[in-house]
Amino acid sequence: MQFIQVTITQGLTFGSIYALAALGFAILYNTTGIFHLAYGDFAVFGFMIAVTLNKTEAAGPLVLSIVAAVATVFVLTTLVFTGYHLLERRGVDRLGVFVVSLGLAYGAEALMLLIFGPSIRTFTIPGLLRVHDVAAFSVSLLTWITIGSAIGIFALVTLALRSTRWGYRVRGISANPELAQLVGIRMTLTMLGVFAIAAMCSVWSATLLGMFTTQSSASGINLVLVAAIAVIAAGRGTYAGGFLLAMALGFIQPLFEFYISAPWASSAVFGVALVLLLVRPRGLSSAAIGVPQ
Amino acid sequence: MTIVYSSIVIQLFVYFIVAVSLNFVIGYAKSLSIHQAALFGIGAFTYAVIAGNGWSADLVVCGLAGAVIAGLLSVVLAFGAMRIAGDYFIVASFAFQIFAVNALYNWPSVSGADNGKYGLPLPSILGFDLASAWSFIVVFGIVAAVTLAFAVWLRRSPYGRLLTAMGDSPSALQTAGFGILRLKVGVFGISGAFAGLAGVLFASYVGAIDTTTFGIDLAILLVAMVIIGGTGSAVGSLLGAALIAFAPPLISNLPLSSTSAAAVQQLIFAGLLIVVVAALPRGLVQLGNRPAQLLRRSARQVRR
Repeated sequence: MQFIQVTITQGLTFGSIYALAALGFAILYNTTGIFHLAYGDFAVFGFMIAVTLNKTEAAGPLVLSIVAAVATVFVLTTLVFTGYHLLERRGVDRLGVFVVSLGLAYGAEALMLLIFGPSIRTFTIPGLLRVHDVAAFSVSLLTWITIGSAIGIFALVTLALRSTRWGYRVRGISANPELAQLVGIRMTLTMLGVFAIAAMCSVWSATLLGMFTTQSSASGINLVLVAAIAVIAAGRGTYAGGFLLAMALGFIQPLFEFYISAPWASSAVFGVALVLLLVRPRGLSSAAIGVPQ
Repeated sequence: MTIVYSSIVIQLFVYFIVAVSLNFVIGYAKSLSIHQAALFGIGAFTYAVIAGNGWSADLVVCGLAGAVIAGLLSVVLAFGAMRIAGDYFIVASFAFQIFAVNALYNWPSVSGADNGKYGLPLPSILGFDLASAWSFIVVFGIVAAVTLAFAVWLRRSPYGRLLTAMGDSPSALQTAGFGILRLKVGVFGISGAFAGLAGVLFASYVGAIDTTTFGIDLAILLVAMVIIGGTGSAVGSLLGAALIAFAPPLISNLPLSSTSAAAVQQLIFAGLLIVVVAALPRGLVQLGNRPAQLLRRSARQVRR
């Protein structure tokens, strides 16, 4: 019984973190079509900034340091995507742009190693770790914040994509960027919103992950791969599909740990991803690109 | 020759073979294969098992075993590559890389888990022991030369032209009546076999390996090596391999800690990767194309 409770709690916690990371990756991938591999490293870079700025164990300064980290990652993402766009205009194909993102990810990891050192980082706010009993579950406040913020941010982003002028523009750019430009959609302003959401989701997910486990300069690749697996295996264009699949991936690790084989738990997500991609090569959903499901 | 220089030359030969193997997939099939480090590792652990258990330290036996195992695994991946392409293949390739290395780690009798496999016996070839640096250089140099000759022959052969056509336009090739599956399985199998062979050579030289060597960092480094050198070109593979072999000893001369030196090397490769895609789409080998063209033209004029 205790195993079931722990599996559900851990699954929901890590699933929510992966889902947040997947949401940020999805909005970039669906809108631009670019596989931004450095997304995970930028997220961890944001986490490192937040940890470095926040020297206390209070929540107030932490929020401020997270805001500063999100702003930094937002600026970096904007610059990098401007670079990708310039490369595409020079005739560099999708594979070339991906290789550049591979170089950025590789370089960002090295830069973090030089700036922040090789040690692993984590931080705790004791108040958030206080456990509350709800029904048969003992859940910390941090877990509630994690699950709540993931669902809340997903709901807000989906609502914005469905019901606001900005959302219509994003969907237009996702479906046909050339046509969107021709009909006069203000690309720059629209894309800035996309980058801001991606920066927020990435930094927040990396920060939460760093509060439950540890982060190092090499952690970014795992975060982006889990996010990319969820988004790509769900099918390009489906925000809900990516979000839910990432949530499900969060359950795989504790399920393996408790019921199948603990040593295989860390790579189980990737094994499942391989099977998913081979069985459903076009993704689980066949939703149209640009239409949030 | 000092130990440092001989080690650089031996590593250059090993990385050259891996670079050529990866170039078969990236250059011909136009599939960005991230998992070559895992296949390289499988070759290395094949040597660790066969030689480490005292069955045989002969490079012909171990090389064949490593090539067959890695080649067959790569063929299985080729069937997967028939179903998925583009970003889907890249994600699957990343997933395979991580899963395969973790699988090796969780198989202690093969990989030694945390401890790795160390104290591996020195290799031999057809009864001759490779006991000196020179013997390694000669044998690995011959294998690298054979790999180069095979790559050049493949490129000029009718099969190689079909592979090039498959990379450029698979649908056109299918319309002309050629089976893509046969070509893809072939090129993936060849690529995996050479990666496995390089892994065997690597393990036989270093004598101590663990799974962390073959992780995601090496996977990215191998892709960088091929793209920086030049895809689809054997000379490009040599340039990329030379960069990887020469960079660490050059950087180690800088007044940096080992961690910082590794990070600086990583930064240099990352920067080169970006610059090459932006300015030299065919890699560093492109820099030599113009002088080579001028030389050929002047030679023709002299002959006239």
